[in-house]
Amino acid sequence: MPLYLPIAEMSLNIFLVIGLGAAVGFLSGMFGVGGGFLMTPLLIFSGVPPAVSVATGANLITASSVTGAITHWRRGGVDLKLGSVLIAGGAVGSLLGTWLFAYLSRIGQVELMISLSYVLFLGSIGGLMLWESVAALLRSRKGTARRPGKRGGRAWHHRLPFKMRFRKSRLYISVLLPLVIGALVGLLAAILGVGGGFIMVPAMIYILGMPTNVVVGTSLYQIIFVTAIITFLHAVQTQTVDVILSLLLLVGAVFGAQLGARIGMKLKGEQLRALLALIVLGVGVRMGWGLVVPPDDLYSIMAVMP
Amino acid sequence: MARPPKQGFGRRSLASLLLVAASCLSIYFVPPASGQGLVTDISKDIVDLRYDFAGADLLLFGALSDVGGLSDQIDIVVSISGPTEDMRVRKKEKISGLWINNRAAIIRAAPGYYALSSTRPLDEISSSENLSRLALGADHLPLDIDLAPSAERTAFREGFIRNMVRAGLYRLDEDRVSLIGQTLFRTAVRLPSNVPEGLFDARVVVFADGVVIAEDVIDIAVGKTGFERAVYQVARNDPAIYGLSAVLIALLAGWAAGFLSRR
Repeated sequence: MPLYLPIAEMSLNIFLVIGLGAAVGFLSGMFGVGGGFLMTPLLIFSGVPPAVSVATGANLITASSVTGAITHWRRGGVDLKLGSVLIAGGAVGSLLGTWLFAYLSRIGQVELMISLSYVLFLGSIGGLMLWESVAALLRSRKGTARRPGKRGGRAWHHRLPFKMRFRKSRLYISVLLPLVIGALVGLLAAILGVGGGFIMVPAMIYILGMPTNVVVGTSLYQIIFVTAIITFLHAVQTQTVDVILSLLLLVGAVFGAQLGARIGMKLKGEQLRALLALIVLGVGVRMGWGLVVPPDDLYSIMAVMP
Repeated sequence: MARPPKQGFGRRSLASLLLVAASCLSIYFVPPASGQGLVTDISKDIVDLRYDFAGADLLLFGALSDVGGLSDQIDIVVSISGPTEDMRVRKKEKISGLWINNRAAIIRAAPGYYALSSTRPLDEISSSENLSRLALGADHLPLDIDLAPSAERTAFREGFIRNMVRAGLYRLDEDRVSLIGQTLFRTAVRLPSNVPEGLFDARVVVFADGVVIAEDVIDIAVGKTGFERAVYQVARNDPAIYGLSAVLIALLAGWAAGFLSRR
């Protein structure tokens, strides 16, 4: 059954769209990730213009993060204060990011930048995750328990000024740190059409030293606002947010996430992480492949924005 | 591909109108072999881009009366061109191992849709000069590229046409005009789902032994209607309101999804 999308100006099969949402929702439910890094490339592969894919992806992530954040909020897993500092940084980053996105699409390099960033970030994070989870799997086979890692530590950033206390996260750190991290993730989110959880979560654990029970909830809380800002900015600057597409994807994602969460509970943590690492790496490699393999057609076309 | 809103009746459209008028005149300077007995119609002259639009198959048909002698070879060429838009063509080049967009050219007022069908291959119907004057056929499409005539310009032109053909927006000689008993003719018109909005000109040119004896133009209007039109217009005209609504809808939908999935 075809469905005409008024902003993308094309029609897609409605079951394909819902199926796409369900598949990404399934993975995000299973692994507890936002799935934006999968959704945006999949939309591009289905023929949706890259600009529409990125902007609509942001809109979808707002919705799915609300669902996730509410669950974590009930468990007391959201540090509102730290989250709000991250959002303040994220607002600046996303403003820069949408501006950069508009500029790059004018000079025709937006796809290059999307591909390069995916290769760089997904490649390195996927590689690290795979390394870590395979090591953990090997250790569990040998039966040696994992040493509890040291959290926080006395790192360089403890000398930064403007310290602030974050009670919920039991942290006393410079406010500059979450501001900068928020800005960087906001920048990436705006450019790549992702929530940025895959960068934010490791940054919270390894740089800020947050306790793991508030990491995911706080990350989701800040993603809601940062992607909302990004959606708004893309809507104003490039008019590329397709609400109908994002709503349909969400319908699929809700059901997919339920199923994914149920199956995810049956798998071990290390297995899940190794699987996710492989998917992340796969997307990164696929993006990199497109850069080095001679394209089918050297020429491409785009409407000139007035 | 996101399209800018259609501009008003500007200088360019006036110029193209004059061009069309001029070419019409030049055609009528060719003495018609007999009366201009050409009637054309199309199965649907208003195409709505509704929620269930997945492209449209139209039928253009018509009748000829008293054209040419019995011994004349009658040929019909139908060309349909859609609303114009400025397009940028980019060429990838290999730079330190990566394929990167490096060269670019702009084509002013390129038709966003172009379909050509004919009774026989064009080069068998009339001379190249004739076709060029009539602007019929892919080789004679008036594409205004901002490059000096060169091999590069030709390559950009071909690259553009290839992309449009791949997108289903240019259909060159894919459909036949069938002529029945020297009087009735028909041809299929296929509009893909990514067709641009606007006014389309369907031009029917009748040749007798390679000479134009009659010509007719009819319009097809393609546009979004109802809900799709409303969404598109709000997105274009009130982007801030659209953006805020998109965010609000996402917040509500996310909350509702959480509510539903807990039950």
